[in-house]
Amino acid sequence: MKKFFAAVFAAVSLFSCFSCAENYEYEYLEKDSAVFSGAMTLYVKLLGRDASSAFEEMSLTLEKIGSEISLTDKNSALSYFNEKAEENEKVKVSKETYNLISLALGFEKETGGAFSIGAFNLSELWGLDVDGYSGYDPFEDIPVKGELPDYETQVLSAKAHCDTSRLILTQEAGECFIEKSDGELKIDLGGIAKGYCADLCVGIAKRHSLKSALINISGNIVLLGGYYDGRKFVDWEISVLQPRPKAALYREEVCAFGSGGDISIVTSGDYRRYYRHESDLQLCHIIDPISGLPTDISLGADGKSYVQKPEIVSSATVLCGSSAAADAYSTALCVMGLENAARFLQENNDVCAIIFTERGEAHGRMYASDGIEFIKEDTYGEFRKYEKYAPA
Amino acid sequence: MVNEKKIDAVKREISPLKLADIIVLTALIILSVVLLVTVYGKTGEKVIVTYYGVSEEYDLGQDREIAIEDKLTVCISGGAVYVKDAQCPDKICQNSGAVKKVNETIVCAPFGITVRITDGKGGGNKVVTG
Ligand SMILES: [Zn+2]
Repeated sequence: MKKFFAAVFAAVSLFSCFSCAENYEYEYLEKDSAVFSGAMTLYVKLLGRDASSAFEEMSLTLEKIGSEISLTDKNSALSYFNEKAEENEKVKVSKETYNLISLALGFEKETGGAFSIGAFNLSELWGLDVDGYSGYDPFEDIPVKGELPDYETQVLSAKAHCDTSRLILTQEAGECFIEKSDGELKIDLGGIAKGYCADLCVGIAKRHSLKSALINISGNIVLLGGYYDGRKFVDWEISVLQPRPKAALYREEVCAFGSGGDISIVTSGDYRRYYRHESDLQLCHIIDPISGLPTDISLGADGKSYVQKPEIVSSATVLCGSSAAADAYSTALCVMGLENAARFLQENNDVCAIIFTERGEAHGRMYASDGIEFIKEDTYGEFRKYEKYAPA
Repeated sequence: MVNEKKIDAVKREISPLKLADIIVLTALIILSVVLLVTVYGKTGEKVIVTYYGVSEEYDLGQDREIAIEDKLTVCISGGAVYVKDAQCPDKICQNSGAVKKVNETIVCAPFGITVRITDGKGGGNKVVTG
């Protein structure tokens, strides 16, 4: 009998030792801050001894990059490049901005031009420029705008100045410069900057040996490691909100999936900012750099008028290792449309996504790549209303 | 012929509810109602405020005011939570009063803000995107 108790005692002590190994005396540090006069928000949940110094460093990094690439701030390097720089004038930028731009040019190639930082002239023309367009105000009905730009005289000529091959990156004596061989070219890093910043924050978290982290930069989410529940590491549970409220007054979660961490999650969609034209056309803030039009309209048969697309991608949630990539791909998938997006995902196995489309006010289709593990599919009974899309 | 007789016999045995059956059934129903009320009506531990895909968790036991930009002021006081001040046009959230039980919510539809009470067990691993 004694032997039995000894064995039990040994087993128990061995077991508690194993649990000790994962027992942290500290809890998650939860912090948030508005960076660069509210242009970006940073929300973190950090686990580790150095959590607060990591948070400080993250805020400073975001502030630095934000001030350089902001297009609202007319004194930023990027505003200068867009508005004042002349043809072939070298504009000095930081190493980070330089890297961000070269990354962005790579994503443009990979997505066949569906993602581009060169389309700012078109965004301005359509009145959808990222910083300047205040967007959908919950106090008001959807804003209505009058004149739409003429296709031949305005859209095509703006599009002629969206060619990023006219953007030249150079380095001299350790300093970084950007210049343009087309004086009219304007660039916008809004579609990738938050993701890039999130990647930099992951680097900071790793340098500070954090055990687990959630970093959310204006909706660009990065999860580092699993979630520590006080005893052990468990999976994160990620809920996807419905693009537009239908049954409920507000956007309820439409499905949820699990993840062990070390992943970035970014959702793009047409729902966040859009306006309505007098003709009842709905125009979202995402520009298709190839057609030169907002993604939810296309050119009519007469080659002059615009028509609403019968089906549009209302939300694309991308999961992949890099947040900058997730940011760029999520926009690109919205531009591609469902069929092309699904094809792109099948060819790029390191990128996973959940895509929802809408047909006017009605539910459209849903596509999820193979890697997605759904844990809750139909909390509010909305998920099943989307027709499942299976590519041939 | 034989089968039909058997079925008849079974029917006769089952159909009339005996008094004892009714008593047991009633007791079961009362028990489950009591269980439901105690489980669902339990006072919560944490308050989760969700806005633009970002969820923040607060202690229900610690009195404080949470300002969500200049949109809402959420107040935690005496183990309950309510919207103290709202800039939304309908003010439904402000007029919906205080909540303190697990799974009770206050919703500000115009701003897309939800305030939800949880039992505080787990839930820290929840992330919202979209
Ligand atoms: Zn309200």
